[in-house]
Amino acid sequence: MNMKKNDNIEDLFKDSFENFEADVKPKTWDNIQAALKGAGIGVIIKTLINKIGTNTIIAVVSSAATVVGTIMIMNWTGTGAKKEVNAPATSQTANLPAVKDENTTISGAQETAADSKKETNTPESAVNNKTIEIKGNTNNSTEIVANHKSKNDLKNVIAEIESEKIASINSTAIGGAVPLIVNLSNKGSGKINKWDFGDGKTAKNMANPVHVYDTPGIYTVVLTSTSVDGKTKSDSIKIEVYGNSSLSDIASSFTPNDDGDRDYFIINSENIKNMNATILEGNGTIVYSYKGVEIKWDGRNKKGEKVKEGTYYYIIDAEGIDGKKIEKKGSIKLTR
Amino acid sequence: MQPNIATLHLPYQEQTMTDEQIVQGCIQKNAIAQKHLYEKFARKMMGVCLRYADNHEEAEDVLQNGFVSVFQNIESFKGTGSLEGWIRKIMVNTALTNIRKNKKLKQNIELESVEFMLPSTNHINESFAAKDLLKIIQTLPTGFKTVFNLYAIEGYSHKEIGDMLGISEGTSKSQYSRAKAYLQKLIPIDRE
Repeated sequence: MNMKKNDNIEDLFKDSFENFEADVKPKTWDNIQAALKGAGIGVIIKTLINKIGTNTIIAVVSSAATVVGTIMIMNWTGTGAKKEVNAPATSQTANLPAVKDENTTISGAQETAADSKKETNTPESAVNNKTIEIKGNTNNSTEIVANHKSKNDLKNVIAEIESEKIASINSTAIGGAVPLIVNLSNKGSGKINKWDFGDGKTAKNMANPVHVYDTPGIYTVVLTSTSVDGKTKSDSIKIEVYGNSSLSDIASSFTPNDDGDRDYFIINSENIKNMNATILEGNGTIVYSYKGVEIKWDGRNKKGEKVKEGTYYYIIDAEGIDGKKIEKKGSIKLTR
Repeated sequence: MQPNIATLHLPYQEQTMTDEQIVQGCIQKNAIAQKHLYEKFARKMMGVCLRYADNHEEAEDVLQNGFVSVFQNIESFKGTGSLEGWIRKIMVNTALTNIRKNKKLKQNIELESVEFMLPSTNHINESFAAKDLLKIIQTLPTGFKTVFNLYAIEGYSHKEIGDMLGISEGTSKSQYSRAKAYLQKLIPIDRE
């Protein structure tokens, strides 16, 4: 960049940063997708907090239960939604809030705080794992007493959260060109998985199926998963498969003199259904036209006579098997 | 008659979507459209986030949260201004939220009296690439940096900045002039 006059410092910075770009880690996109995908659950945690906020006494229990993990996950998914609960900026570390209701059995409560902490370091949860705070109590090991009114609500909400985890699709791709190969897996806890790939094909009892889409379209993959205790839940994702019809790049000149080097004006195609090419002289006269899926012009007109040197114009219309319309126009210089 | 050259040079670009199509797609939560939007703006927005953050990692966090927010609120994009401008606004807001969350801003602005040291290479004589300027900006204390970014680069008024940051207009002005004085000291003045 050139040295700029910088007695006006604002301009120097403004100009320099106008088109400033910087590298982004590929992982960032994955994190964003993960956060978006989980956004639905974010609503539940908000509900949960709203419900327990007024009617329940809450404590922070130092040895975290399974629910802790759930809350952490939901917390990042809730990012971007209005924060109903604001944490003081200082609560950055591991006072993991847990909710315990005396009538609600929380399974797997043996998970240790260390495990839960580890979870906060996974990329998915990296979005935001600091903003949750359940008001007013940071003492460890205090009992929670829920009053009767909120008990059932709480139970339902927790059940709902738990169910989210039985079926949860993870896919290596959510879109791409044919043939699109996707590796699917169930991130949830369900053990018996049934997959419907949306293209008429299904798979049973496969934890990590690999599926190939070879026709363009939008497919809904549905996973139905049953947990060990017999609960069945489903999850779905959309996969968009597009065609990959294309034309090759077109050179800007060719030399039809039979020396074996650039003797033809060539356009190759992939997955093209039909293509029309018209070549015009500078005065608009059509010197050559062609229909087909490949173009190879030798520099002769329709009568087979060599055309004179100069610049010619081409207009190409093509349609791909996927229905994509491609139009190319440009000029080509002919020398012999 | 010469064929119209202006229309002749419009090579078809693979998978190109207009901003309008991207927005429509994103409203429908179409993954391809979301990816398009992200790929179109991620690098540029990273440039914005870096200016507000202390380091690369923090900028990535802001970028990530910013894009999540973009996708979740895409319906509120009215199409009156540019999509890029709208996304940039969200990024800036996300960066400010991040700063507020870390309480860095208040702390820094309150420390008005503290003078900070110039880096030992107190003049940078070479030409300035944006990434050099970025390094300079990143050495500024958070308060200076934020106000400078908002005023000089994003173009907000001191009143707006005051409202955004919860400081007075006067504080914004004084933060700005101090940031500017610092930068002028650091960057040699070239009067032609």
